[in-house]
Amino acid sequence: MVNLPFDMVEIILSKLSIESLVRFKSVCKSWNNLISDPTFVRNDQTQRSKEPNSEKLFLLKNLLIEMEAPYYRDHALCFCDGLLLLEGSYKRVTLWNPSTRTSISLTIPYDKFDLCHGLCRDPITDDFKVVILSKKHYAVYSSALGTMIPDTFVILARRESTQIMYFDPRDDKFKFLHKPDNINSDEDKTYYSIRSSLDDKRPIFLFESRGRLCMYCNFIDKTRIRIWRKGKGIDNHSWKKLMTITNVETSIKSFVPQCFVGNKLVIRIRGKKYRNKDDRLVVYNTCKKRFKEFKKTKPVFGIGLVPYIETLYFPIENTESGRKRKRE
Amino acid sequence: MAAETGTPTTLTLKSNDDELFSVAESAAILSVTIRNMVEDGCAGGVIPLDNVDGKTLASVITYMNGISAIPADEEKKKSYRDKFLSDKDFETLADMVLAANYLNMSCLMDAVSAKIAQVMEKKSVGWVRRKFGIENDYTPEEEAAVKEEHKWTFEGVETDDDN
Repeated sequence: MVNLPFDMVEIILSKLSIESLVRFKSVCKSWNNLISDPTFVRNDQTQRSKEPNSEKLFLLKNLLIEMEAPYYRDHALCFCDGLLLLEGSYKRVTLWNPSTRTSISLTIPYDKFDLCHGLCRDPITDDFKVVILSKKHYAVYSSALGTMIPDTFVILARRESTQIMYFDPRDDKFKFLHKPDNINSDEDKTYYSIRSSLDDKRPIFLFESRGRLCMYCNFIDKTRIRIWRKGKGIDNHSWKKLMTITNVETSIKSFVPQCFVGNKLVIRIRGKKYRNKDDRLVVYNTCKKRFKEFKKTKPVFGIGLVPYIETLYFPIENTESGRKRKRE
Repeated sequence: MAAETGTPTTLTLKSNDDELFSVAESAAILSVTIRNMVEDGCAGGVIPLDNVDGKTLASVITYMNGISAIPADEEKKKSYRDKFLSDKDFETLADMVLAANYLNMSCLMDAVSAKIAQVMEKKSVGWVRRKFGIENDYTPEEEAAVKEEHKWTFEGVETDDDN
């Protein structure tokens, strides 16, 4: 038996997996208080996100009973800071932390069809928000207001669009984000004059990687896709060219980047069948500029693949009573 | 001074149970505490380390010598640390984390605390209480409630090996 000072216990605990941390809440009250402390949770989150392989891929299937996903027919809508927003039953969404298995169900004011969803966290007040956008309206649920409301950017683009709109959690307003200048600047010079006039109309696509917004679109020859990454922070609207993917054989609409693993990019290639039955995963090696199939991807019914980071974080404290309140 | 003539300087460290150890200054200054003493010119005679016992100090010195013999290659240093800590039990690791903290050796501190966390990973709540000398201050009802709330985290726990 060794009596370690509490600050050293804290250092050791911060290196445990989330699962063990949650279990050790039962050790004693002071450990429970520490592990539940918002400062500890926040530091832990910052620390974990810095680790080189912190971003993991999470495979969310329909009927995912073994993972105890809160509802049967769940489908991941978006993610932020280790939390996922899942599609629930009629007019409901569920906010879920898969590493602590905490969840809360929210009622939304719109029918499920044709909605855009976003999660974000106000960088100053730490208020966590869920944004639901329908064709004409939007609703914002805020954890601070308790009425139930990443990098703090919300991706609210539809699959094919030419402009980027984002939600600013500081003033709850939607704003436009400038695209990178000269999207085609180093394509073949002969095409340049024609292309640049088309810049504004070219469909662009978005994904998120390590809390940063990324944008991609294809070249005129359709076999190359270029990816840009936005600078860190809401007000930083600069874009940096990240990479150009060559030898693309599928249409850009079926090309859905998932996350970076080292120097490799995991991409989901959408199939044509109903409910994503023939979706598959490929890995693009940025050094060798080659695609490789994931060896064991069988088509998974209703596959949902999301990157997440292990975290203790959950914006709403008492989920049990929160859930009950919502059901009433 | 010895360093200027090219002969390696040796320091003498004394544990709290009065064991004496010789160690090359170049290795010993991995400890910021010792480095400060050397820089302040108070490392001439014997350096007393009042918070470290002989057994732990011997281990720390083995580490100091081992790691300082490795050139600037983070991969190799990491694999040395892993190997060095691989056979240490919980009590030894806990003594080392205290020593690393007292001696202000951040690389050892990081490695040992990560190792302790690794050892704790699949352990039961009871095991942790015994090893850390923690008294359970929950009432049986409170404890049952906390455990019930996080029931799934108890699924893969190993049977205690310390009884």
